[in-house]
Amino acid sequence: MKPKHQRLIFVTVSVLFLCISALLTLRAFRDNLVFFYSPSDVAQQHIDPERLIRLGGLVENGSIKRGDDNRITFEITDGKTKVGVTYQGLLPDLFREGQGVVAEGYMKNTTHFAAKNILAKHDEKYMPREVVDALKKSGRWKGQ
Amino acid sequence: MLPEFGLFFLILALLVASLQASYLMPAAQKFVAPCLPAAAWLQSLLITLAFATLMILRLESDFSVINVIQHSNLTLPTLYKIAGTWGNHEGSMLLWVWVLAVFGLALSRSEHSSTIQTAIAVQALLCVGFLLFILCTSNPFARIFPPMADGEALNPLLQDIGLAMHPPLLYLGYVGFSIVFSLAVAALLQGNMKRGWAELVHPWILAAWSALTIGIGLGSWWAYRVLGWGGFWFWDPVENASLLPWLSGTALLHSNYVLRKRGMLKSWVILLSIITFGLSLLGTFLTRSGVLISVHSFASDPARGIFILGYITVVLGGALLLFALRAGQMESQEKMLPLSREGMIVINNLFLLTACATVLLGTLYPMIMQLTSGTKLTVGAPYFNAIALPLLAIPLIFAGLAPFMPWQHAPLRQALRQAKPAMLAALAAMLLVLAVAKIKIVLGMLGMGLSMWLIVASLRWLKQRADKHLSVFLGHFGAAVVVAGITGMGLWQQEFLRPMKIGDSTDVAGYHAVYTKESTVITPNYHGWRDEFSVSKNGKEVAQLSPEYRIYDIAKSPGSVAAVDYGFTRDIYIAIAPSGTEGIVAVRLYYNPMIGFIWTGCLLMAIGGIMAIFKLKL
Repeated sequence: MKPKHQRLIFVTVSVLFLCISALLTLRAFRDNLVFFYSPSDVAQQHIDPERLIRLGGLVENGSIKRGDDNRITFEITDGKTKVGVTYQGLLPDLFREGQGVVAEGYMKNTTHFAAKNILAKHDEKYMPREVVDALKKSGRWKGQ
Repeated sequence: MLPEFGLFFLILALLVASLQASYLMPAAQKFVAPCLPAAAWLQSLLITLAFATLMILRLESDFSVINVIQHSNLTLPTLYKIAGTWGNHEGSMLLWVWVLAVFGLALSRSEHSSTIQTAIAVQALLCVGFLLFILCTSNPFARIFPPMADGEALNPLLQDIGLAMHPPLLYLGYVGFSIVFSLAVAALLQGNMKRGWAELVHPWILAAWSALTIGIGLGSWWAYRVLGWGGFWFWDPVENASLLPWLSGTALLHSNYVLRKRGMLKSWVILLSIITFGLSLLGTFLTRSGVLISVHSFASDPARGIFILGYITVVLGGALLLFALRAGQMESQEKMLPLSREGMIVINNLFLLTACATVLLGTLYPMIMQLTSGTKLTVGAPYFNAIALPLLAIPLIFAGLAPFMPWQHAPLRQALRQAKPAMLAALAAMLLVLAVAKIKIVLGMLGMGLSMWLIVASLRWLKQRADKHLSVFLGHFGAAVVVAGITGMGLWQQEFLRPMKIGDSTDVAGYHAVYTKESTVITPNYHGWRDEFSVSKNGKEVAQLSPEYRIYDIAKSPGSVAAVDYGFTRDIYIAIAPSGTEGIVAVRLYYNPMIGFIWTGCLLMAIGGIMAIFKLKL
């Protein structure tokens, strides 16, 4: 094989790999975008129950109910709208009533959310940034 | 007075750095050149003094200084008063510029040539930018009047030895690439690459890469122990920010090897040097501008973010422009064949950079979307797992083969013959997984097969080498060990949540855990509970684990300290939290197979890198 041919093969193979990887990347990218909603958002928009989303707000005071098998139900509120959440599994340390929370899961209908995961996101102020934004939007944000 | 001295040192340092940087102006060259070594010393001394000042202010709890008020308090243990110096924005920027200056000094200690002098001046220019940033937007010595009686809390999550050591190492890595960058820009400014340039950057690339490797490993270890989720990598933007320069740095490390041995890839190495430092700056921007915490807080107080962004634009834009103008002059005429060691390295470089680009896309996209359209979204971990992991697996296949291939032209058949034992070992590992694993068999076979392939290939390569050059072996072997760890942990981790009261027991992957004792813990800094668990296997006690649940008094925030029984093949990991019912505690138990391999592998890679700097042999 002449060097020229070898180089041609090399370039062709590289370009092929690049195209395939770009294609796969964009596919995986599209499938894995997880959009964030506030309780008011989900009440207004119809959200595909098959689509994984994040729902964020405050844990409504007095709404936490624990059942058997680590089952838990609580409500997420942004001050205007409440959404009931069911979850089974491990809770982060920072999960408390009146505190910010982000849940990942599926909207069963406009008022019920089945959480797959409760996120332990935290920054210096212990408030998930999405929650801060959601609260600012609904006018209940009291921080800076 | 002390805080003013600190500020004064920084201003003096800025002047000295400006003097050094003026070497870049042809008219000033003659006057400045003799001062360069002394200026490098002075520069490092001044910034060291400023850094020491901040540390003393924290130790003395001078609550007239805003930085001390915000990130320290009287009850904080001394270790974290010291380590907290770089645990906050202003202090960490000071650490950044300190490393920048000290590395500049180290560079000025090597034999003086025009390349070195130019590089020192470029380094000083980087320093000027950073000092301006600190003085204009992040003054660590800013005061308020009247002074406070006590400070606020240091984020409890940061009160850990892992995180005390993590930023300095990460910065050694980030800033280490600044020297590589400065030398690359010096070569571009001179219009050609002097003989010996590759040898000159070689130790710097290795040092930065090794520090970054350990830094990432430590950060991951910290997350594992402190976040209480039993995981080691979350594809969080902060983590990605450190992974990006590591990926391009790995590519750079290998390309520079080709440059040293064969004199090829000159402009490619220069470009990679620029990109790698650019990604280091990006990492600093992401973690330090507040853009990750909230795009909105970034937009409402944009001074810091805009400054760093401007800095990146000037540094990276300037360097790339220079590259575009000058790179054409330095290409070598040598031909390269894909079936050769250098060919393999180039292919690997492409894969590493593609992986780097996909991680970059996933990291920046949510921020860009929110800034431009206001849509809030995240890119899920499955994206990174599905894309970046396969892209990184391919270079690892080549990494097993390439060392068997000679330079210039290599018959593939011969290399494959040499790699035969590795192939057989990989096959054996796959069959073993097939026989043993109950879930995720296919991925497990691929991961373990890949790991075993690289392990045996590296061992065989080491055996063949007469000079027993350990560094390459350790690098590749370490990577293989990490792959094994990620495969084991990623696929076969088991987690359980059990509400337990004293005397209850539970079974986890063949281990039997009994909740034996509860006690309270009270320290000046926090109070909480410590629960004891006895873990046994087949009736024999393996470990006594005592996880804690703490409430940090000043921050009024909870934190759990997991208890881990470290083992060669597995960790048993227990974390506790209140269950909401009196007398019952929510216990999280994890069976983490092979997780220790991940840190061990990182350490091995870093040791390999350090050995290569000193050309150590067995």
